Amino acid sequence: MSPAPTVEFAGLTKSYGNSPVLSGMDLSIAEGEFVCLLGGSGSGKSTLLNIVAGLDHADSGSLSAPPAAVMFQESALLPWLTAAGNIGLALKLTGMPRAQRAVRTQELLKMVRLDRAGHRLVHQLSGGMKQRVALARALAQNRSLLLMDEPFSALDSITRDFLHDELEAIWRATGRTIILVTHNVREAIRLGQRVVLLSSSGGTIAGEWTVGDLQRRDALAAAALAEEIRAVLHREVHGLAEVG
Amino acid sequence: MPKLAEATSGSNRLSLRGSLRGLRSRSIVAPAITLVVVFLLWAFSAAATGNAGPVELFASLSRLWASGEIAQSVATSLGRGIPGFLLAVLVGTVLALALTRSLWLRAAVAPFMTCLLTLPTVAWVPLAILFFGVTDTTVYFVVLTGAVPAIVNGLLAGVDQIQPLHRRVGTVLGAGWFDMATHIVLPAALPSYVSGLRQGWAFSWRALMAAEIISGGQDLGLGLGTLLQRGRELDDVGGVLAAILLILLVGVVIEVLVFGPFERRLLRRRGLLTGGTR
Ligand SMILES: Nc1ncnc2c1ncn2[C@@H]1O[C@H](COP(=O)(O)OP(=O)(O)O)[C@@H](O)[C@H]1O
Ligand SMILES: [Mg+2]
Repeated sequence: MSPAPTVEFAGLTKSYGNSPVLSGMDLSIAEGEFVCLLGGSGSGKSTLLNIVAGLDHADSGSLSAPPAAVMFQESALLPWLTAAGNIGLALKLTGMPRAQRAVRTQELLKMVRLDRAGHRLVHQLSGGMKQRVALARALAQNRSLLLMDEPFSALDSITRDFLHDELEAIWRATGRTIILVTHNVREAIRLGQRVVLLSSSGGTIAGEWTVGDLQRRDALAAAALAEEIRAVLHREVHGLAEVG
Repeated sequence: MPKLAEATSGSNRLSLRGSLRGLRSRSIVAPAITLVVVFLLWAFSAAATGNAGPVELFASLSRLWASGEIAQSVATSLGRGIPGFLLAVLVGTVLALALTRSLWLRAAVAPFMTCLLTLPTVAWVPLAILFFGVTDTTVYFVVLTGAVPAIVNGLLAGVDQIQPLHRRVGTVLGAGWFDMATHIVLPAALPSYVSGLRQGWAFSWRALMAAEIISGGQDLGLGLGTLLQRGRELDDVGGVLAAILLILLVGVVIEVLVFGPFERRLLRRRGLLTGGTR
């Protein structure tokens, strides 16, 4: 029932100048698990994710993680390429021969329901479409670990709900391990099997919740869990305000 | 200038089209009126003072056309200008890419490129003639000193302005330095690179004309600058005016036919330009 951890870190620390951002962070994530990292702004979520992605280095601590695909908050699509071009570049950089790329690109576009928008230039896509393309590009890399840094936070709530459904379907279909960073409690409960709350002041983990089948099916149970998490989150953010 | 970038929703389409049409006819009609007015004023003052006027200009133009000297001089000048410029593109691009590879190299070279940019290229001509005589080497020397610094600076500025996020995308997608250069850095730097190329062309065209005018004589063949210098020596104001007009026209034609459309297409593709602004 508990598969081997695929991402594991212990005692991670990181500071910028004199201000510590992470001070002794431990977490272990199982293969195929969907974990949401929750925290107020400035709590070190992006820093942690970038370290796991290998884009940044921790000052100390141990980390083991497979190579990851990453999806950023802002649309990080390359504006000189089309939607299909962005996905095609990711495929090319995995070493896939040209002949197979067009077909695979079309499959990936279909997976995010954009099979007719491949020819569009980036500025001709809506915010939701851009993030769909970014998701397809991340999936193109075929890596077992997918890191997502507030991927939907710039979207309106209707688009976001659609994308939540799609992401969940894709997660179930592909069996990837997903770490998704968010500052939105509702989003964390909607998507995560597990919600990990980062402390706003200490650079540690302030709480951890498992989202069960009950909360998944029942809106009231979900709301109760959200209340519980929100209370801790507010204490974190508020406590920080008192200190600062 | 109407703000076109925002006018994309359906209800704005009509007014967008209308203003585009207005822009286009305005950008043709208004300068044409200026030209007519200038020529009329010039014609009147020429008639009043007895100086050369539009009549002499057009007489010279038709004489030069009939003798085939227009075609010959344009061909001679472009025959050096274009290969010289292409050589400058090659040299400038390779140099700029090399400079991005080493901070030390860049610190050693880049400031002098900027210095060179502020020096009028015509200043090199006498020196080049002393060194190389009135030869093709002189011409290519001044064309390169004119164009290379502008091209290097354009490409370096483009590389500096790359969004860090785009580089991180390259890293995350697993690009090594070669893929990073070809798929991320060069495309991202392209708009700035193209304006460097455009400036480089303008500088090298001016440098070429300066070389032809200063070297005078026929040693370089009959170019547009030679035509101008010959007009001066023969006291032929109409010929001088015709040469000036031709030098201007070649510059404008290259700008309008080559750089303008290329740059507009580039920017429109990235959503940085949704209507005509020229
Ligand atoms: N490159 C950096 N240099 C200095 N401080 C940084 C840098 N990156 C992040 N920080 C600081 O580290 C803290 C955590 O940042 P971040 O991980 O981006 O937070 P989050 O993603 O949770 O909003 C913030 O206080 C931020 O100001
Ligand atoms: Mg962040």
